[in-house]
Formats: sequence, structure tokens, C-alpha cells
Amino acid sequence: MVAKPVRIAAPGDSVVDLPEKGEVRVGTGIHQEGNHLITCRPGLLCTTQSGKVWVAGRQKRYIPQVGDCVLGVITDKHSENYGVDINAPFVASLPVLGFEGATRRSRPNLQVGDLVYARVTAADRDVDPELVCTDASGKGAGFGALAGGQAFRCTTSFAAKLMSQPQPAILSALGKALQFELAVGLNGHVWVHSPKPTTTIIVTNTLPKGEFLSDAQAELVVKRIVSSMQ
Amino acid sequence: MTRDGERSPRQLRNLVCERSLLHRADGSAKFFLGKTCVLACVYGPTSTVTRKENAEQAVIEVNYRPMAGIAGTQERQQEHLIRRTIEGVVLVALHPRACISVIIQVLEDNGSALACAVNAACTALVDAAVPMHRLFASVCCCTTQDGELLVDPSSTEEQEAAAVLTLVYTSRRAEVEAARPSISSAPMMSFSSGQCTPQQYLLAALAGREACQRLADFSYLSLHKSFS
Repeated sequence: MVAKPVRIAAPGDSVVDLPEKGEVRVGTGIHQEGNHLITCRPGLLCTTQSGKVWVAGRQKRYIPQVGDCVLGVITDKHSENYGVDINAPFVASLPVLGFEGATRRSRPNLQVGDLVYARVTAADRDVDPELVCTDASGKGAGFGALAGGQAFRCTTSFAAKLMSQPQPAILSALGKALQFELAVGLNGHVWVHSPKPTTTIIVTNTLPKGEFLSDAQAELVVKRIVSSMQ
Repeated sequence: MTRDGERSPRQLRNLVCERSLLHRADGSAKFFLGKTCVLACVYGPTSTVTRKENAEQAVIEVNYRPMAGIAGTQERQQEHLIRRTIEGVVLVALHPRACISVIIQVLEDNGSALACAVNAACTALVDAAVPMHRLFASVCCCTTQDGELLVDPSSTEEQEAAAVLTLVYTSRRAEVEAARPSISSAPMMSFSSGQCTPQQYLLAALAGREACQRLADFSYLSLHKSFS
């Protein structure tokens, strides 16, 4: 499935007329109006040969989707669940048992203000989103509390770009020069950790700049920073 | 007959639009109509207190702050007009129980402040990627004491006018990256003060529609530039 060349869409643009029969699944940023589909968000209109259409926009507020990996901050602690701020319209709920090996007797030791990497399991628009810190089979798989390091915020589209293949130039250039680990939340929250504090600071300051740089510019910026370190 | 600044009666002033200038707001925009400048920012959709919540759709909140002084009844009226305009285009059913706050700060008022505020609000909503099914553009027209029609009046022209009319028209495109957006045939919002004949009103509405077509062309161009 190769994506065709993208076009810039504004809200209210007509995309395609709905067929008379058959099933059509509407992607993000597309809305049905009567007999045809229109865009409802600004961004790049992406289409694939298999007939998928969606609008890839740049926004700061995260609208939860089931299956997304997000980085959240614990805001409340209740008896059955934690309240997690994932930059969505509502505070998400993370059940206390939603961790690998957690039972009613042995609960995870999370405090208000801790950073967690979780997966969205329920994201209906009428209810608060729900998270879990395990993968589908119940294993930890990197989810859970994140200790140390530093987190920064970016747009949801840049976070999606960081998770995509091939890696954006800024990330691969930094990865070749420095050693660090990264947890990318599709809600526009990214965590960086490295044994050396200077590396953490450099990555936290440089990575968000890569959103608007071209590949050549990104590599130049990283080269300049690395050479100034030595 | 030329106006101050040597404009023709139906000519708009210089249009400038800046997007995403505030770091913390979900969306922000500054719109200039000549020297009149308005900054709008959008927060949302976000949660709000229970008594303001609507279980079936998002609630739009507008806060209009004048250039000088404290907001009074006139500002409440502007807030009501802008809120009703926004409710007409935003897909509120997609975010039940949420609140979309639009804060408007008039930075400089040299006439047509309400029209500039509405344009800034639309651009800020687009910047925040709030789901909308149309875009909208607004312009101010006035009828002088001699019965002449002026589009986009400055503050002196507004004060000397017999009637001042602010109009909002919605716009959409028949396809992505169409050559020109199409403007709705009827205004979505019309706020008038003063006295004018029905013929003068209709003439102003038509002139306003042409001006909104040019404003819409400008808005779509500005949006394209911000994404490319």
C-alpha cells in the first residue's frame, strides 16, 4: 500500500461522493455530509491505493484512538484506578490491575506526577478514555512507569512521524551520534533517557526542532551540535 | 471620491494573518484588517465543570476582551454573536461533554473590529484543528449619511456612518485544492446598527459577499502556506 502524493485540505472540502451501495469506513478528519464525504480538519489529504482516505493534520490536542501508545502523567490516585492526563479532552483512567503481574494484593507503586507509557483500550467519544500498561497478551512489553530521563511535548503529527518508518532524519542522525532511549507517545508527549545527562539535554532540545527541518538541514544541525560537544 | 488611505469604496484594507503564535494554546491566530488587529486563541476540546457540560455535544465558550477598559454589555453581545457563528460551523456532536474556549483580544481597533475578531476566531479554530464543516469569513460594511456604501470602514468612517453592518459568510471548496472557494449565497450572521433602507441593506449584503469571497481566497492561501 503506497501513499499517493498528498494535497493540502481545508475544513469543508469535498473529498468523494459516497457510492450507492456498499460499506465505507470513514478515516480521521473526514466527515459524512449527506451524500458525500468532506474534510473537517486542515492538513494533508492522504490516500492509499486500497481506497483509504484520511487527513493528516498538525494539532496539539490529542483525540484518543484505540490501540495508540501514549505517554501520560498520573494526576489522581483512586482505589480502583489512576487518573492519567494524556492531553486528551478528558482525563483517562488506568486500572490498578492493568499492569503485568498486578493483583489486588500486590499493586503497582505509582504516585501523582509519575510518567507512564500505556496503550489506549477504550476511546469512545462519550466516555473517558481507558488505558492499560500491558500489551494484548498481558505482558509488560515496555509499558508501565518510566523512571528518570526527561519528557517534552510536541504536536501529535510529529510524534506519529517519530514512530513511523523510515525514521525522520533528525532521529536517525541523533541516534547515530548519541546513545539514548526514547518512548514516543502518540499524544504528543515524548520521553528521552540516557545514562549521560548532557545527552538527554541535547536530545530534548534538538529533537522538537526537527519537525520543520528538511533532511539535509537536520543532519547539519546534529553535526554542528556533536562537533561542539567535542 | 477617495477614502483616507486612498481606497475605493469597495476596497478592503491590507490583510495579514499569523498562525500558531502562542505556545500554550491549542490554536491561535492574529488577523489584521489594515491597522485593526485582533488576536484569537482556542483551547479545546477540553473538560469543563459539570454545570456547563452538555451530554450530547461540545459547548462553545467565547471571551471577548476589548482593547482598553473592562468588558461590558457590548462585549457580551459580541461574544454572543461570535459564539452563535462558531456553533453553526463546528461539529459539536463529535466531542460530547467537552468545552471549546475561544478567547479574543482586540489589540488595535481602527474600525471593523467585530469582523476582524470573527476572522481571527475562524483562523484560530482551524489552527487548533477543531472539526468544522465550513470555514467562514466576515466583513463590515457601512452606509454614509449621503447614502453611499463603504466596505471595510475605518473607525472615523464607522463613527460618521448612518448604518454599520457586520456580515459573516461561510465558504467551502468543491474539491481539495480547488481553484477558488465558493461562498454561501446568504449570510450566516448579520449584525447591524443604525438606520438604512432595505435597498441599502441588500446592496451592502451583496458587496459584503464579494468582499468575503476575497477574504476567503486569502484565508485558503494562508492555510496552504502554513502547511507547505
